[in-house]
Amino acid sequence: MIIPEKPNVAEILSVSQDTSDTKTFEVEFSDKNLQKKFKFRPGQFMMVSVFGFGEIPISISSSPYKTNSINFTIVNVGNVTNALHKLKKGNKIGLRGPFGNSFPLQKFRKKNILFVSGGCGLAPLRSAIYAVREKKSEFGKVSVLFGCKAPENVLFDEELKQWQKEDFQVLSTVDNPNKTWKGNVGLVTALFKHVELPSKNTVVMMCGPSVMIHFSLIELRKKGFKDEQMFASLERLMQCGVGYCSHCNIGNKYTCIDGPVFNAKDLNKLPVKED
Amino acid sequence: MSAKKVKVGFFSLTCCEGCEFAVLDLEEKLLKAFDYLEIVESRVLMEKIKPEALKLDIAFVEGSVISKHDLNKLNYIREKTGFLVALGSCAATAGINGIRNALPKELQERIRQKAITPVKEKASPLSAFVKVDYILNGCSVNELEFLDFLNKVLHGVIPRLEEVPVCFECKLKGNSCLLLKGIPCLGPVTYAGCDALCPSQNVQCIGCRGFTKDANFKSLDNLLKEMDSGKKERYNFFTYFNQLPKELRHLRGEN
Amino acid sequence: MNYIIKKEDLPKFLEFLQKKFDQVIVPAKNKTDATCFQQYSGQELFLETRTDFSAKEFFRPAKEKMFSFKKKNSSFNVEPCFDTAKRVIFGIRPCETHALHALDVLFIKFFGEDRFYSIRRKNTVVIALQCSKACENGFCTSLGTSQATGHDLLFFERGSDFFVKVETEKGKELIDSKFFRHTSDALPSADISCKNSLDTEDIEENLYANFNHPVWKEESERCLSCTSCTQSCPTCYCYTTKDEFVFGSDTESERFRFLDSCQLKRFTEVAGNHVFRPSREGRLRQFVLHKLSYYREQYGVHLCIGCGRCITVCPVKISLVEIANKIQKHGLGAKK
Repeated sequence: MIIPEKPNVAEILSVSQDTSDTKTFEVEFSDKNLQKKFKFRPGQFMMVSVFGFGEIPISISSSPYKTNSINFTIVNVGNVTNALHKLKKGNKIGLRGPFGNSFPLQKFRKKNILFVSGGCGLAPLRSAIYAVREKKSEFGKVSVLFGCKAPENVLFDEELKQWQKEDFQVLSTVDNPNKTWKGNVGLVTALFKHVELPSKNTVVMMCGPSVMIHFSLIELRKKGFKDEQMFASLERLMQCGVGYCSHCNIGNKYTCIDGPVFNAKDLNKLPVKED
Repeated sequence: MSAKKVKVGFFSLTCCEGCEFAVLDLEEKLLKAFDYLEIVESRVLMEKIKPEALKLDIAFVEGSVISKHDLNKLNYIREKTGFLVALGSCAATAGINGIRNALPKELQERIRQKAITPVKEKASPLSAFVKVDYILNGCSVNELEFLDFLNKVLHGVIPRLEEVPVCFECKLKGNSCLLLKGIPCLGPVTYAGCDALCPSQNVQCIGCRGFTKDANFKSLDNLLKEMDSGKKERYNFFTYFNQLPKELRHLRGEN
Repeated sequence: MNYIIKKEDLPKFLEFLQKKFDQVIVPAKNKTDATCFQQYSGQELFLETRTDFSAKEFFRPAKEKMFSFKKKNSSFNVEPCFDTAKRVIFGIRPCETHALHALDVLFIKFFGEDRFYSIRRKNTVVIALQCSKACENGFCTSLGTSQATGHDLLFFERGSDFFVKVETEKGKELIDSKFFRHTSDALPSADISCKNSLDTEDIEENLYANFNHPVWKEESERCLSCTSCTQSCPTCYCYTTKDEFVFGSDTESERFRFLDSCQLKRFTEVAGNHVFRPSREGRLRQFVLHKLSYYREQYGVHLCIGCGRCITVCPVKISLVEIANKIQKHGLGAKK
């Protein structure tokens, strides 16, 4: 009997401290068969349970080509994430999923790709970046833009550098620089002028705070990007992941089943900003 | 849960100490909690208070600050405590003590003169003077909410005050609406957590758990007005357990 | 096949049902004088009109335990907790059978079964009671929900009798010759005329097209966000899950889900205290649009069944029908 709400036990294989408030957990289903069958597409998320503390939606940050374990990059912001951050290698959590749609990478063949990320929004994009990296010859040029509050909040610092070496264009920016910061200063939208990709034949994947997505869309449209070319992954409160609980309802769409990735054309029709 | 017992103290400022008694109503459940708690100070629970009130993990403070003595005691507790919880209406919103604040100035003055000990101009909630880490509201506190709080804290979870009105719990229980029967009720603007105790007994909510941030005071005031509740009556109703919300300043008028 | 049962035999019939089922649920008054569905224990039934609260408690309870988690050898046992009680509900009104139908679409048919719902649903026999007169604020005739659907037995009031129409095999099994006698009389009329009427023509598109219509702000200004509308609604199913440790235990915890309400700010609050739908206007609009626009577009049925409960229970008299009709009449895309 399939119970969509039932979490499956999974083991934490390793924990790495990315920044002062962010950790990446490498996880594997305790049921080896489940792990063997497990497949996901970049942009999808899973429901992560810390038993006794609650369940939260977390997007997968590892490569879809790596199937022996799953990575989650998690900021310590609430009670569940706080409990999660206390867990160590060998501890057990609950997992359900993957849920939601994904970035339609198969449609992006031969195209240049622009990744726009803010804060922990880099996590779901990381999965897509790895997917693109794996099949590099199938895509055009790649730019990765990343913005966060301060240098100490820069996620996947080493990997950003690595991608840069592999001739991806990688640009970082912070709101509050310190003395040693050599990158850009300001919002992620300020990086658009450094992007070398032509608006034609380029697709955009973005994830980050809703304000970032809002202004990125506006700025990119000014640069000649069409809505059809731009995709954003949205954040909403989710309790079920399967369309039952209705918390993530935006207009006639559910972020958990119709999203979390939306084409900008569809976003125009949805009441994304409701305040 | 940590193996070490959590050091807890109960303290009373100016109040009836009813909240501490409400906690006692937990009976066996409280005894079970003692497996994890070390009570360091409590006038109600202990025969003799340990003289050296050491460092505390959690202090439950009931009562309002109405005198210099209260304030000194509160500052002392704050200094000794990691996590300070305002226990009950008096500590959270000044509660019954605060009724005095809403009275006409000269009446307030007369009360102060008649007081046995020197009292401050106003009765204040704890938050007026020190950082309050959590509020357990109600007159008296809901013992099950207290237990839930303990259960969470013992597992390292800091509960949060949710913006939910009494009506939510009242309707979950399938109660009929007092407002619809023409009885003034503060359910829509008051924090839930009491399991709608009063409305479930056909008694109006008088706001002992404090006003929610999301409250629509204007609309409720209009509704009470339509029920022929006079200005003064409404003023008294809204200020029974709470300070007058600024949206309702027009009620002050002749008072 | 149709039957007749004497009204005076109803208590005996309910007692008969008590022997066959774990719970017999009937409409009656509670201690606060609200009418709701509750377990039968010989109390006086409330059969005049629809109840204040719906029977959703027996399909989507206010709070239900979903799983128990037990730590064992550094792993966890995850046990689902199903409510497998066998129930019969007597006196559900036709509109509410449509509410169950609307929920069936989401929780059974569309994505695959939500077991917590479907087990309850399949273990419940529904005896509907046809309305003989229109209820306060109801507008079922506008939504085509005045005739029952998916029920097992249908009762009609007819003088000192109930006329009973058998719809399913499950229903047939309850026809005991001690109380029922066969009749070849024609089916009584089930026509009622509601005072309220809702203009449903293109309502999904029109309401959505008028997302920024001033009516939302106007009406929401007096909204108390008390959540009475969503709680009394037979189809409001939105839920929140919460984990709790069994008191005094480090190893045992439970996951509950409870009905939540889109009228509360916390409904769309994510980590970091960001609320996606903070305004009262937006929250009220979400309720109306979910009922009359979004659900139909997603699942093909209206989530509103026209019972009028949300209108009746609103302390400040906000009416879904008035809002919708106003937009239909004066909003964008209105037939001028």
